This record gives sequence, C-alpha cells and structure tokens, in this order.
Amino acid sequence: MSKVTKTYDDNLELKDAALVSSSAAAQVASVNKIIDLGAGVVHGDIVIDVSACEVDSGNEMYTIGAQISDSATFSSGYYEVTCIKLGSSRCITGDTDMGAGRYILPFRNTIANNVAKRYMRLYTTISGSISTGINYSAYLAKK
Amino acid sequence: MEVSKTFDANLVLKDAGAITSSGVCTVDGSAKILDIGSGAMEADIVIDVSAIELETGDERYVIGAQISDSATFASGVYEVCALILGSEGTAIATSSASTSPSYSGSASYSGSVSASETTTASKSGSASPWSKSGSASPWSASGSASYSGSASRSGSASNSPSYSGSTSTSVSTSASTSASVSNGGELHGDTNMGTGRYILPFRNTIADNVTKRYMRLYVLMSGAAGTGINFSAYLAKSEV
Repeated sequence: MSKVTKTYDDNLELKDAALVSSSAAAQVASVNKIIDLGAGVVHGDIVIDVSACEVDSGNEMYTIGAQISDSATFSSGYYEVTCIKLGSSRCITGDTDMGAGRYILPFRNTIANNVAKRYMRLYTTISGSISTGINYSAYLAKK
Repeated sequence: MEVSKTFDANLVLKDAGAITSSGVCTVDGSAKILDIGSGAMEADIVIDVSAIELETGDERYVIGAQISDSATFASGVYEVCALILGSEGTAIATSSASTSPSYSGSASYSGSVSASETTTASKSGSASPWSKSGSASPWSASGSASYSGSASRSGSASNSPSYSGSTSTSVSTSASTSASVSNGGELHGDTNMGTGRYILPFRNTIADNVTKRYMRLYVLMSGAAGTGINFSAYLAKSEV
C-alpha cells in the first residue's frame, strides 16, 4: 500500500533525519524543536518517516511521544498526550516488530477535559540494548 | 470543558470498571473487539477516567489502541497509539535498578553440661534428756548444764544432671530484587494525568498506510497500582 501523502510545511518540522540512540527531545538542526500551535484546540497528523530502526537484540523500544505544554521552553507542566511505540515485538505491546516506514500519528493538543496547551514537541524515549538506535524525521501536517 | 461526542453503543470499547492489572478491555465481562471495516479509518477514542490511583507515585497506565487482521487478535497485533496516564515522572524514562541484599549466617552450639553433686553429712553423738546435772535456783543464777550425746546421720545425695547435646542454627537470608522498566516506570510528562475526559485520536494503520480491520483497547499497568484505574471508552467520529 502506498504511503499517505501530506503537505509538508517547513515551519512544522518536528525532527530532521538523524539517528537517536538515547532518550531525548527531538531536534531540528541540532536544536530542540518546539512548535507554537497558537491558542485553542489543534488537530493534526504527525507524519513520522522511520528510515532505520535497530531491533538486533530483541529488546529495543522506541517511544515517540507528542508532548504539549503551556511553557514555551517545556520547563514545566508538560504532558505526553499520544505516542507510538516502535521496536522489537518483545517490548512493544503488540506482537510484531514495528520498524521502518511512514507512520501517521493523529494528534490533538489537549489534556483531560479539553484543556489545550499551546506548545508541542516530540520526545523519543529509548530503552533496551541500543547500538545504532532509530533514525527518523517527523513533521506536523493538516489532517 | 469536556468534548461532547455522539455515543454509539456498538462502538463501546470498555465499560466502567476498575482495572488492577494489565489486560484487554472488556464490555460486559468479555474482551471487546470492534470490526471497523476495510480501509483506513480515522476516529477519536473517548476515554472517561473516573478514578485513578496515584498514591505511590510510580503508577503508570498505558491505554493503547491495538489493531489486527485477526478478528480474535490471535496474531499480528500492533499498538498504533497510546495514552499514558498516572504519576508524574521524568522525561528520561528508562530506569533500571538492581538490588541484591544478602545475609548468610550460621550459628552453631555444640557442648555438654555436666553437673555432679554429692553431699555427705555425718554427725555422731548421743543425747540424753535424762542426763542433766546441776541445779538451778531462781535465786541462784549459777549452774551448769551439760549436754552430751551423739547423733549420727549418714547419707549421701548425688545429683548428677548431665546435658550433652548440640544446637545448630543456620540462618541464611537472601533477597534479590531486580527491576528493570523497559519503557519507563513513570509518565513521560512531568505532571500527573488523572481523571477526566481524554480524546485520543486514532487511525487504523501501521507503517505505509497498511490498514487493519479490527481494533481493541489494551491497558498496560506498572507500578504499585492497588486500586488501579476505572474508566470507560468508546469510539466516536473524528471532529475533523
């Protein structure tokens, strides 16, 4: 099946292509990337293009989470409102490895009771025996 | 303010009820799997959390949307999005701890206790109540009294308690605790996420837009979740 095609906006890039081998906030041009979504509720799709995903040891897990906050620097009060877990089937909740390819992670910048947060970022949480890790890029797109 | 979504009883993913261990979400006590038809489908999962235990500070509840080609989820199961509720944690969520306290000791007593006592008393002599010489006068305070006799008692007592034995006590205590939380024992955000209505956007595709026809919710719990989490959930039309 063909990939989903989504219009790319450079201002909505959440991560550029690069290997990630330890837990960290996603970066663009080596700088942590935080997007100002504006006031109000935003619906979008996070397009995640995974080019490499190491699962050699069978215990690797890569959680790509969408976090939101009122803080423009994410210094406090941040929430992970949705996530996708990739990696070895032995660690992720499903029973099948999830590796390279284009994933669409629907996103909404609200926590409980529809409370919206203005800023968003991606955060990669990594566990397991990692040598090369995961390489992916991501951007926010219109639904 | 809560989002209002049209409720369809056929799209209920979980009815209200506390969950205290990981498992597939159920409706009327049976695991609930929805047939969402062929093709890609976008929707919102409405999750109403009425109670959630956060007392210990390490509770984590992952509500994941899983899809499969299998109507029974026998194989080919993918979790395509998840909402993580629970106690606040740190962004660096990988934690591993190993504690191995061990105590091994041995106490041994071996010996004997022996006591022997022999008592011999001998007394000889004679006494005669009729053999008394002297005079006594109230007016004369002099006199003499003589007592002569012999008494003889001969006996022996032997007390020989003897204890011989051994006591051996060996105590070995070994406790080993190894905890490794592969995907973070705590919430990835820095703020508790508890009760309320959550909207989790959902799409029934894995990589490269490959769709799966069946869906269910699965709750993965970790931490000291005594009373656990109580929530209900249903699938609703997306707002967009």
